Amino acid sequence: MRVSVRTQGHLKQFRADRLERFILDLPDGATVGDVITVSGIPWDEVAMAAVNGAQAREDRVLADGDRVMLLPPLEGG
Amino acid sequence: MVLEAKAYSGRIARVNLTTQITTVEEPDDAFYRTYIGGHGFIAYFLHKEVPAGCDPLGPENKLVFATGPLTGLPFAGSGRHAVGAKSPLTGGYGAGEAGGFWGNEFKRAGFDALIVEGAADHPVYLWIKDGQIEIRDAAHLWGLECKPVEQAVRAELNDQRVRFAQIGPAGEKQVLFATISNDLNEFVGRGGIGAVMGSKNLKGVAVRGTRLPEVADMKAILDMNRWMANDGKKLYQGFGELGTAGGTLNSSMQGNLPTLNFRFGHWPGQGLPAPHGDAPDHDRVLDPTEACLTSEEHKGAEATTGQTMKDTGLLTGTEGCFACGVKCKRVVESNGRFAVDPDYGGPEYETVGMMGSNCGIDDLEAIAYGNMRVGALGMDSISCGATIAWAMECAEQGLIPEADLGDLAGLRFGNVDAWLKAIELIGRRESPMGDLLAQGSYRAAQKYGEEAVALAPVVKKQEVPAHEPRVKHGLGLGYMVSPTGADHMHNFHDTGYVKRTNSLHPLGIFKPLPATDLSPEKVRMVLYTINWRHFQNSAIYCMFLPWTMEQVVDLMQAATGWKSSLFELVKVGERVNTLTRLFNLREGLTHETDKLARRFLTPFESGPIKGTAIPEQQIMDARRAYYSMMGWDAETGVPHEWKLQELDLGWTLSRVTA
Repeated sequence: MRVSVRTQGHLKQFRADRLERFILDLPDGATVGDVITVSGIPWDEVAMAAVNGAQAREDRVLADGDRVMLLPPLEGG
Repeated sequence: MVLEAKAYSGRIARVNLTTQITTVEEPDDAFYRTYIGGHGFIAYFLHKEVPAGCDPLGPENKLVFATGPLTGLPFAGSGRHAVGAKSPLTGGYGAGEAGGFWGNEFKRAGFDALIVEGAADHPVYLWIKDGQIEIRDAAHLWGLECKPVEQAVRAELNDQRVRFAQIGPAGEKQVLFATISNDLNEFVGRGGIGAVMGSKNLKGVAVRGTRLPEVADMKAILDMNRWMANDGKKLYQGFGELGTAGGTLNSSMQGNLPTLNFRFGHWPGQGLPAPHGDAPDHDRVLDPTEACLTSEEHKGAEATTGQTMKDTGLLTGTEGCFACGVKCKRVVESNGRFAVDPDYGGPEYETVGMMGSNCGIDDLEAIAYGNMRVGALGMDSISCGATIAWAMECAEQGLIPEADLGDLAGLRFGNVDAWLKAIELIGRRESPMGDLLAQGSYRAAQKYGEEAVALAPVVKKQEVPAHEPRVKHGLGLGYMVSPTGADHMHNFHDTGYVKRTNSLHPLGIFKPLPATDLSPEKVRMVLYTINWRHFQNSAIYCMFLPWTMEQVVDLMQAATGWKSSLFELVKVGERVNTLTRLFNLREGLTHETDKLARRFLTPFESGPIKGTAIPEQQIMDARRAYYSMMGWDAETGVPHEWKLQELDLGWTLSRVTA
């Protein structure tokens, strides 16, 4: 299956190609956590993930066409 | 007197604007080590010298500018200072901190603090240069906005490196949330300290200095700063890239983003939102350049993040404070629908939240412009945004009649034109509604009945900032007990400690807790953290740098030469926390004022934490626990006599009226 991924902030720097938005081919049953791992981003760097606009945990199983967003820990003061 | 301690000049200036007499005091080492600086100095002088019950906008109030031992030293986060007075907004202890470059310049000008007393009979400003203090006429500056004033002062003092802490027209008019700003984009924001300055006819304090006090171990300080610039960099990188507004979308997705006068904690989208987002269309060709969020929910938040600021080209640069490599300050510019002047800086998260989503506005260019206007006039964007949002909701519900809105006719959530007009009228206290709103949401609400008062999102008459206590229950407790009214900085953010508590390990706190936990274990976390924050605001350094507590102990030792322990430094925070409590009790701010506005006890009707409110009984139990753990009476919050002695505050006993 294919999912589209978008990262924010400095998360792109963990990818060799430095892309903020990319498509991933993943096996069925892959989770948000797998997206983080495959993207090369350390788990500690991801504060929050969203799937199709709603917050999702790392164990959320994905479906073909899902849109995943990964957000770094950022909190305003 | 020559101090043993390093990193201080050992001199505190006192200027009486009524008599025009300037004196310099030289406190002893014990004073410096007990109160440190920043909020410690402010709390000490306010409690000791400001007469109980005085008018905050009268000549008996005192304005205290205070640096700390860490101010102006060559390490990231040292560019910071505090200013305080009795607050005209809350009627109690008021103080705020600002970054930039004024603090280090003032330190180099030869003083640790400045106490301003009395009131001038015409507009003046102070000029402090290398130990000399002059009172100069400011009639030609009165009424002008911050940028032309800074330019004029530098020109007339013939020195472009002068730093100027000033009030804008809002402070002159005594808007109850007027600020003192420096470098045009740094603000002592909360509590209307700018109004106190305006009541003294003091336009600003210009500083220029060439001599930094000696420190105990400069090499150690430089070594630590080198660590922060290299190894520490990965800890703050995202922050520098996106600024505080980088977290706006995170905030909405947590239900933490004030929206429509705190009615929501997220952008609710059209009508009632689909709580789990729309199902994807599997036949669509995936386009990685498309926006990720498919539902309307959170879209308004996504439109106003630091990422969007960057993606749209509104962001044209970043800036930092003295000695800091993070550069979290935004520089924005636009010549489109709005002329956004880059010199006033771009919006922080608080502005994006309180003036944006809280007012139903998701137009980032408009927010950048509104932020600029608030800065030019010299107002707190938190209280200004919250007050306007309160008025918007009251107008929508018919609690404020349309006829009363006057020049703000049509003021509703999302109405950018009326929102911009409100900023201008409030900033100069023009028109009856502008003048009313300039007093803050609580006082304005008194005119419109109980329901309007219930909608004012305040603690101690100060508006809650852009961190939703229904998400972070410990923060809610912190809002209640904060000496300055609702404040998110000398406070605890529960969401940072739900997975790990590494930064609190030195205080013996090991166990993460859910954000909505209000058990005694959570209260202990909140209390220890708040006391540490009060120390941070006394030493004074920026909380956004990831310095560990151990490193701060080392920095303090390297600066002052004191062999301080973490225990001693946390005790300073506890002392300052308690001293501000005493001041407030004396001013009539009892435990009755330690409570949240009704809205925060009301469950969210939708969103990521739909149905969540703060359970009233639980938070009152938590408050009881906080008081007790602080050594205060469990019901009244009055510090016990022996606790005051333990904190070396026995001298206050003759002043406590419990």
